[in-house]
Amino acid sequence: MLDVCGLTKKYRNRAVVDHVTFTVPPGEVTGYLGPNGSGKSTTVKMLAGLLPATSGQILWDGVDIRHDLTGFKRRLGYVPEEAYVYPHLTGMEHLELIGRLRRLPEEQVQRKAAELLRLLWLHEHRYTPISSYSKGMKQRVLIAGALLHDPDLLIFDEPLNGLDIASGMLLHELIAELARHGKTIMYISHVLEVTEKVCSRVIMLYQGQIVANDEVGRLRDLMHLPSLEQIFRQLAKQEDVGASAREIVNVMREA
Amino acid sequence: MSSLGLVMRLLVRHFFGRFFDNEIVSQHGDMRTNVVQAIGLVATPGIFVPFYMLPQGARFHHPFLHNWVLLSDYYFFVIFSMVVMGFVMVFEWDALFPDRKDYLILTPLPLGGGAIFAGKTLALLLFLGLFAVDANLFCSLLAPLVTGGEGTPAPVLWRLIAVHAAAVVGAGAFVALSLASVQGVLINLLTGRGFRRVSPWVQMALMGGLIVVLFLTPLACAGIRPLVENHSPLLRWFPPFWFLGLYMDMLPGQPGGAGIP
Repeated sequence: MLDVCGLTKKYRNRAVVDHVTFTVPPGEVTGYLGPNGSGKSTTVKMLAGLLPATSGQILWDGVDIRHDLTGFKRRLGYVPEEAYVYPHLTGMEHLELIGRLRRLPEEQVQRKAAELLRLLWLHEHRYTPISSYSKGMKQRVLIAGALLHDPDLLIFDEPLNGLDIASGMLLHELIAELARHGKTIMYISHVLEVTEKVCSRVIMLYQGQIVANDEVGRLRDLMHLPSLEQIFRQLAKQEDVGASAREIVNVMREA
Repeated sequence: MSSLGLVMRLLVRHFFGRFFDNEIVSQHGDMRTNVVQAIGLVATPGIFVPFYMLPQGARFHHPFLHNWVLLSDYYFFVIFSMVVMGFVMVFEWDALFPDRKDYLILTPLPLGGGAIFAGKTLALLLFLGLFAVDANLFCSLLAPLVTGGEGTPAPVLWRLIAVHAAAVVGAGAFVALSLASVQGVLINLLTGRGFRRVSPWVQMALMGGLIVVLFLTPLACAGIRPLVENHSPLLRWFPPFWFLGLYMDMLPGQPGGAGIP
């Protein structure tokens, strides 16, 4: 189980993530939502060990991850928002590198890498340099890399980036299956419709603070609103987007 | 080998491979081919320059009394090594330290920051070593053979080879480490954005400086004798002369480098 307690990140005294506290239980998919700039990715970077927190704690199975960050990373699978991969490597070489750096047995690396690439529809391209991959193919390589070592905690940061409809559907099924196998899963997105389908529980972030943290169904009932989008609009005090759209068109058409 | 050792070897191999994946020369070209071509190009002067020295009949044991031309040849080898290492550092400028891609890909893995940095440093040293050997191997073997002349005892010949190698490799290492330190200082003094802004200008200035030094070679060669005879302070301010002086100092039977600092 992942527990986040009072997690804060400040840049030049401005809190980007402000005393965020939540729990991600195993066997569930927890959505972490928010508009652009709300602090989602900063939270995730702290969870993945990419950024140090200004204050607060991240506990994995009750132990502060700072006590054994390397051990925590062994149990973490992370699909980053930006599809950063080494372009000179092939898909297979990328997975081999990740697997070997994770000190997995060589036979396991070879077998799992080949299987994952096949199941993620990259078998034909496994020996092609990543530089010639599409964005969606790169994303699938990253997903394979995050699953290679059978992690207990999986963080998907905007995993649909670049994926086509079929790959997106596969990913959603995969996430649900992983949850059924007791994995702790965090799903970060700003696409509310998708999150509503994938996640059993959502945490909504707005200007670095949590404005809602509950099961999707309960949130709908509590707020008497039919969709996550409308709940989010209300909680995050979103401007009237219809009015904004009309204004944009007006500005565009001005002589 | 321990599992940590295996990981370190993997990191070094990975970072070493990344030096061939530099996009500074061409966004779409094959950098591996470019680097291999550069290796061939860099090795060539070390082969043919010693043959140009043959007709001079230059001998190492009288460079100042009878053969200032020999000193010019030594100067060329020193400056060539320095310029090659300088160009390598400028071309690999963006790959000298772990970059954003390394940070995003490697940091979530169970590796310590120290291991990543050590892997990068070792890979850089290997890459520089490759060019240092490439630029200097042939001249280190051939030039002493030419300047040693016939009948030179084998121990003296080996010493000449060692002296030549030490002087030219030392000169190259000096330039490589100096440029790495320039980047290190800039990274520490500037913000990320500031560094990205000044970095191309620094690269341009370094590139320009290296080309100027290379094209000044004939002038410098012609100027060595008057500079030495007049005990010019320039000898103390121009790094190639330091290593030329070191070369002279280490040669058998050349006390005090005959005026070179």
